[in-house]
Amino acid sequence: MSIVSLAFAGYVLLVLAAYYALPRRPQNWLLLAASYGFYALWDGWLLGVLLALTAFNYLLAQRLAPAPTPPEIKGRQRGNRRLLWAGIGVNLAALGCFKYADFFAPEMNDLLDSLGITSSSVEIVLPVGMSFYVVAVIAYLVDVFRGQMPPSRDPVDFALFMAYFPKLVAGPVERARTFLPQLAAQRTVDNAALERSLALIAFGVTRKLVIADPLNSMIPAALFDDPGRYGALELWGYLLAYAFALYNDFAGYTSVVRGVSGLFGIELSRNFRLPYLARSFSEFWNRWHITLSHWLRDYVFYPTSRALLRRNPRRDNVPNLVLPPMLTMLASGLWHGPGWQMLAWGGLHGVYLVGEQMLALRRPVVPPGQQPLWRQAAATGVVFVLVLLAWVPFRCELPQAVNYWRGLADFSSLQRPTFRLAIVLIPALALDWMQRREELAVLGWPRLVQATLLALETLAIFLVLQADTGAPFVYGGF
Amino acid sequence: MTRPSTLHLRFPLGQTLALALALVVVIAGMAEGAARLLLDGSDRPTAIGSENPTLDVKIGMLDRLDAEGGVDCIFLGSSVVLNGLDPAAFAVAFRTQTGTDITCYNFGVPALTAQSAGLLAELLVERYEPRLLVYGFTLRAVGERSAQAAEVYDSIADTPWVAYQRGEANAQGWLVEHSTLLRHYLAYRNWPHDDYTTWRAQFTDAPPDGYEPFLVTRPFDPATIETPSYFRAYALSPAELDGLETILALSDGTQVLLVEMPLPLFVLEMFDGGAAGYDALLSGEIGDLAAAYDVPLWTTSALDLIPAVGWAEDAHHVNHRGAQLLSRWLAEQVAQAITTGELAL
Repeated sequence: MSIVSLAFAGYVLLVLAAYYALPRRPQNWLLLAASYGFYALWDGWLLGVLLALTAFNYLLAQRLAPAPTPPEIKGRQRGNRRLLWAGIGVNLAALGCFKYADFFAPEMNDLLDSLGITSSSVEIVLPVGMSFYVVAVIAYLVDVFRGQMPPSRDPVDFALFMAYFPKLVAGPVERARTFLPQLAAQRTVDNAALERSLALIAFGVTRKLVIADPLNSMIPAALFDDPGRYGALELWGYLLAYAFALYNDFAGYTSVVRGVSGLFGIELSRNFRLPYLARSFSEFWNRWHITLSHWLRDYVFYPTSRALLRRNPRRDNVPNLVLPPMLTMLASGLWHGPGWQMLAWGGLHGVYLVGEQMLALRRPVVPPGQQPLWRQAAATGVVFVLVLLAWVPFRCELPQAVNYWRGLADFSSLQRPTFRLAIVLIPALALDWMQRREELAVLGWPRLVQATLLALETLAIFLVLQADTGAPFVYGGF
Repeated sequence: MTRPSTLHLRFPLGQTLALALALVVVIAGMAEGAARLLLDGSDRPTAIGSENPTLDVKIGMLDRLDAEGGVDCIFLGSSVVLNGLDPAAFAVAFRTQTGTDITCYNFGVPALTAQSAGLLAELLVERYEPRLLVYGFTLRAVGERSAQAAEVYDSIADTPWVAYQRGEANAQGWLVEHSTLLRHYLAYRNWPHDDYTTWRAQFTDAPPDGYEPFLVTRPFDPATIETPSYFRAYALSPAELDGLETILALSDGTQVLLVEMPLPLFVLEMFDGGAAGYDALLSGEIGDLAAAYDVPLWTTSALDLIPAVGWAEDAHHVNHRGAQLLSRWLAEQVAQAITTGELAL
């Protein structure tokens, strides 16, 4: 069930109707039932994986919390650390089984064949949303272990944290310490919350249906498989289209689910802040898939960095400079999928970040906002182009990616990409412009302007839907 | 003590939504007005938003023909009709025979079987009121449906405009029928697709009389023609016969004519029972059905109308040369049948 479908809208309305009629505790039960129902509709038997991991992590967290008295803390911490690693290991193993097993399936089949074992081909399907709920629950275990939050004593609330249907398929990666307290409190949906939610849904649906889907659909089917067929202008143009399609697809998705969640009085985190206007790579990662970036920062980058600094506190020590960003971005690549292409994508971003840190060592760091405007614009341009180049291996296999990069510099053919890209890219930029200072600044605009925008969005959606460009959300596949 | 509730809404509520809705109506209304002023009567292509590309193009073309003075006769059928009957050649031969002009349109849709043709025939007769409806078919059209033919049926039946024309209320169908703007936009609707230029060419390059000839063709080689599976284990399909009956039932108000589209003799021999078996199937249940509705059924294969050079290389379709011969023959037969009273036009 796509979250931009009438079926999903009907499902949400049905759940909302019951939700508003119930007191807080039964509301959580209802949301849990609705979430499992949604998941079962989506992914049938794989609901079992979610249930098993939920039970495992709930019970594990009860034993992870530091004990109150100092001598016990010391003893328990050692025990807890082993438990923590065991817990992380089990969660990662489960994710690895489903997410990465397919990567090794051919070798596995060859091995079985060589042993004379006839088997049907190994094929494992990744349960929808697993990459998202696994990282969220690992963060929960670490936070409980660190004593940053108590373990959830309420199995229903904890199960809902894992399965909450608006965020189940593709995040945002919520932190238990901000999500669980919302489940424990009375929720309120007033006029302002309703307006915010509906505006987020309207923005999200527009980003997905009017911008992302048409852009994706205009990219030639063979572009990423056989880039040699296209001239440099086409390759640049369609890469730009891909970058905006990906951004609007995922930002649109997040906007819709945040809006839907707002109707239940539960706030989900923002995932995008105009990423292509970033003036540095570290700023980019504070604007792109923010919840995952922050997860990686808190649970990979900082711990690695701190461990290295304990060994050698010098900032300019090469391992201190190189390892944390490289490991973090390689982990990000692996999270997105198995294979060299995602490692190349993550590795490239790692190199960008290392380069940025090295430059920062050579001159005093001036916050981007305090730099001259021309410098900010130039930095934005450089970051954007390098991010574009990194999207190439994100989208296609490495040999094709290399061909694509080569093609970008080969101007022997001056064939242009279709001008129809502009029909979509211009509104895409307009949408970003509307959200440049505040995500929902539009709610402060005069009613007639708001209504005109909404009317134009409605008409645009109607017209674009005539073309049947619908496609699943890109991040639904991670 | 009252239970704390989640909803804390103050009324009035939804003014922005209501205003937006009103603006949608106003903006769409203004755009529709402008479209009617500028586009009504223009020769720009229109579409009905069907997943079936041929249907999508042909309704617009027929509408234009209808607006220019009406259509006297429609050739309906699959690709054997699309490539096999040339309205221009038919009109010339008909004029030679009768001294009167006739405007025909070729409504051949690839892989159209009798059930799908039944859907369309009702719609075409009601909308364009032709004097003559020629349904051209081979036995393939009334046999068990292939997957491709089933797709074609679904693509036609699921078109909202078709459903609306058949009396099923739906907003999209209503809008397509009544909005000039939407009909014109639909002929551009696939602008967000990478193959838009090719898709759009279907509209801009559509022949005005619907006939799509095989212009270049190599002579067929019987040795290379595979026996299609539907020939080897052929059986009439009750659903397709129902479709055929729907067409025949239209003979109440319109002259309906069934024409067996020719196939080369060696292809007929691939049938169980050979050419005789093919003839028996044709003249048996199908012939009886046509007779029951008093609709003429003209067979062509046995007449050996098409010389070897008149076939397309697949040997299942005639080429342009064959189409000229067939169309002239059909026009002469129709003219003669009018004279003898077999056909009432």
